[in-house]
Amino acid sequence: MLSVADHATGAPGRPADRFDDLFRQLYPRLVPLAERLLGDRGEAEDLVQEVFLRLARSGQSAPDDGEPLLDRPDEVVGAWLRRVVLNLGANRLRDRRRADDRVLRAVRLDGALDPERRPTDDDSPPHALLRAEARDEVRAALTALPERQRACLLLRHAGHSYAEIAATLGIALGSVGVYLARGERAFRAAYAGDPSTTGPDSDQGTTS
Amino acid sequence: MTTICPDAGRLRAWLDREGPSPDDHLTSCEACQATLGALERDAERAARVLAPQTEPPTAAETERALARLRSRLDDEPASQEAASAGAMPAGAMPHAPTGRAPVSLSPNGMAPLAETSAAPRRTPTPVALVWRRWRLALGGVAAALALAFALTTPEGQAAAAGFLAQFRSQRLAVVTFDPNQARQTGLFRFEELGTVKNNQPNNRPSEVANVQAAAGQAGFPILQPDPTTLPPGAAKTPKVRYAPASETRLTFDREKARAYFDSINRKDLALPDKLHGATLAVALPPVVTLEYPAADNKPAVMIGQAREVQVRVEGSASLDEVRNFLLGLPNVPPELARQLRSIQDWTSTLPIPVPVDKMTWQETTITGAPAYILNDNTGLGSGVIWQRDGRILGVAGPLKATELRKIAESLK
Repeated sequence: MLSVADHATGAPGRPADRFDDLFRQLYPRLVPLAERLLGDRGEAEDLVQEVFLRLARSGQSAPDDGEPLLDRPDEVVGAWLRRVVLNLGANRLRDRRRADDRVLRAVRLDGALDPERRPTDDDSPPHALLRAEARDEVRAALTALPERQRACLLLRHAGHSYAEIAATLGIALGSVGVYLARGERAFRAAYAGDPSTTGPDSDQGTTS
Repeated sequence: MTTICPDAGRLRAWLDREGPSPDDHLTSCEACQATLGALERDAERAARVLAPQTEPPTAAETERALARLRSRLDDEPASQEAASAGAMPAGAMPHAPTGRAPVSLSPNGMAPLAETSAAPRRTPTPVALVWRRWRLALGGVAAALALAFALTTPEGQAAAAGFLAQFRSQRLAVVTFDPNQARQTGLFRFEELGTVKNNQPNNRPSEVANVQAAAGQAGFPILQPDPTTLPPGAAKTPKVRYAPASETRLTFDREKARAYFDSINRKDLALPDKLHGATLAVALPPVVTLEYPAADNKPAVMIGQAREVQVRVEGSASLDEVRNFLLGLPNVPPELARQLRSIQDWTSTLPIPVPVDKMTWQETTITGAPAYILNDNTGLGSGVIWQRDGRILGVAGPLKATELRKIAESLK
């Protein structure tokens, strides 16, 4: 019986270094994407590990509409990995917001607690707080965008090509520029604190 | 020279050198020059703010990450092999292709990994895929949702023992899961822990004469859309299907659970004494679906309606104790468990499972009620699902979310 590790390290019928090659090729590109989404390098690395873990596990079973993922072309696997990074990242952000809400409720009861403070060895608390606030502003602006616009911005500014973005989001290649143009305009407005040009209807006119 | 101004999307692509050059047109079109300038400023601003905060992982860091991943994978083989030996169809293994059909939820959402008979693999058409997913969501998956609910209650919530209808769905919450992982770990293999019975084993929707007939059988009035909101070409009279209520019961059995834990080399696990003989009962409500066919007779819009789902535990254990036990099982992915635990109103919130690699979702409202819009990742279709007045409602189709919303909001 093949184990999960067998699939990840190369089992009979599959090039021994297929999984390793994919990891070496895509891990350095996925971590910045996850980091931009989550705002934390360590959490991003953990998320991408989780995504590759799922890829390794997927080698044991066929998806319900085709051959096993690891038997598919690199660009298909890459698109799958990016999609799962975005979806899992969004999940974590939602979980974090729920947790933040709970912390904020606690802070109201105990003013000495600071939910934003995540001190590191070389950061003073005020600087850490400022950085956390800036990070949260970016995240809040991104959150205000319709989902595909947000995904396009994240992918593009993490260095992915239009073809990769289209494959990841399942949209036409020609739509990528449209989503980017709208997304960047909405992001500018949201980041500047102007909600007038953002909103869930901004995706209208393209696919949704 | 092109006389028609390119749209902003084409100009934006050209900025990234990802599209054809409109150079000739740009030199003579002030409007396009202005648009391009605005696009460039927006793009530069986004690039500045969204630029990676740190350098990408180096080769050495990547190798270390790969080593860590290997270490995690090495910890998994025993349980994965056992799970596979117990439930994975041989044809689903990548190195023994036998042409088996991929595993999917049964119409009642139960025990999806227990398939044993060989069947030829069929490649579903895109439309078939969309409708299969939405029929599951609207018509049959509620039982799986409710069983998933049994895993959901957050820590610290205690339920009184021996009461009935401990759960009654009043609202919905999305939880995402990885279908590959769920299939592989045997997430829904409840039959390994006891005896699973369904009082309607062949509970498939059957066509009824009309909406009034369905309402009579279901016991609730059927909401219908404003015909003007339906897509052009769609029939104004729906095909009406009805699936009766059913109940699935899992009675826990100490010996069966023991054998299962032994088979996955987890001799440290055991069925709690209080659970032996206790029954988890999931009551799936009657479901009515209205299908509005297009001119080619393929579904253009599908509307599903059902009463609430109920779950109860019979015997000496409480639903909370059952949930705690199930959450501790080794085949429940931590990510899924974490999401389920985070649901606050656990006695009234029905989880909607969304496959993480196939669908995306967003929160919205339909006539004031919280709702979820789900989009197929491949752009094949969308759906919206919500609960209102004790009724679970869903609208799905190969349409834009905005079109589905209009249909949903017109239901009366």
